[in-house]
Amino acid sequence: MSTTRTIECLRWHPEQGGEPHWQAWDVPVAHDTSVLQALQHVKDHLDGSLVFRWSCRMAVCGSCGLMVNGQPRLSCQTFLRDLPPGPVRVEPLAHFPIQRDLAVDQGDFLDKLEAVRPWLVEDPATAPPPGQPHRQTPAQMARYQGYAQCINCLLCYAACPQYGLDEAFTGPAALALLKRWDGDSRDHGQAARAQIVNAEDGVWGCTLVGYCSEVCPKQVDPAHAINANKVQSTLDFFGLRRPGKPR
Amino acid sequence: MSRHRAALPTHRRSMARWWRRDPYFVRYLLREGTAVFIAGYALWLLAGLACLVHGEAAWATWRAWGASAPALVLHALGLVAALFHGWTWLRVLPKTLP
Repeated sequence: MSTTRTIECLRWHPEQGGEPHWQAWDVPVAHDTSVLQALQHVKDHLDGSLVFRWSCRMAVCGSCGLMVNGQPRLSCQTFLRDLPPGPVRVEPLAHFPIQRDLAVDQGDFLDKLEAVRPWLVEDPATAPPPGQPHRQTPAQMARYQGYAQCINCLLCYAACPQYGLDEAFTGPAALALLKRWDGDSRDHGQAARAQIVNAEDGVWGCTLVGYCSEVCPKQVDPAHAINANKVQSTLDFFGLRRPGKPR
Repeated sequence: MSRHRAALPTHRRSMARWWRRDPYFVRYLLREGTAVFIAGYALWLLAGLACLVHGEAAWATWRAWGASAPALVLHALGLVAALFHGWTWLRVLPKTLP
């Protein structure tokens, strides 16, 4: 038996400007229909002009983050069967400017991500010879592995009212990834990243709402990454030496 | 200027009444709001200390006001707020540990 669900999408096009408006479609649904699949049905059969991002369809790429019934979700792993009866409201991720329909402008996040140097800052004195692996123990890897699961889906930013109220705040994912690289035994970029951590818009911009960790589809726990770094930042403020990494 | 910005204009949505968008935000504001009661109780104790320093009459007045019906109601409200605040504080505590 075929059933349908109503999908309501917030739409906005830069060429038309004005305020965003809602548009609804009825889409056929099966037991395993995800919100992303419902949107794909709209695009393929009902309105080809609908714009949204997606790629892997398996909660790995982080492209398909949307507000589903007001909550930040990966649309590929949100199934219509799990949502309350009635129309399903789909909006672009909160707190980001709308680029077109359900796609948001990620530019601000990409700037912040770049600023935290999300790569291995090697010290030539301790780096292995070219071509040789830079080894670390399982215990050293465990210190940062949780934060390394971030897929840049931006659900945490859409869950963070502090970021919505002040775009200057570095925000959850960028600060979680900062802690990921700071915690890597092979990395020597802590001093360079400290100015971002210690800034007013760094970890101190967080008031521990905590919703970022709730919505993270990879259990990265950015709220912990940020607030644990407040201890490091306090040590910096008093000119105390940061605890060294286990090498 | 960022090299990642969109070429075409974008639309920024309002943050008006953001705390009503999700029950999580309401609980967050309750958590933060109950801290006002904690601060109020601290001021109350401070006033008591000041009265004690000031002399026996002031101390007796402070104690008498503390036993009045409005003060007892405020203290009861403060106790509930302090318990709620303490419970929420313990819940977020693990997020703050290194």
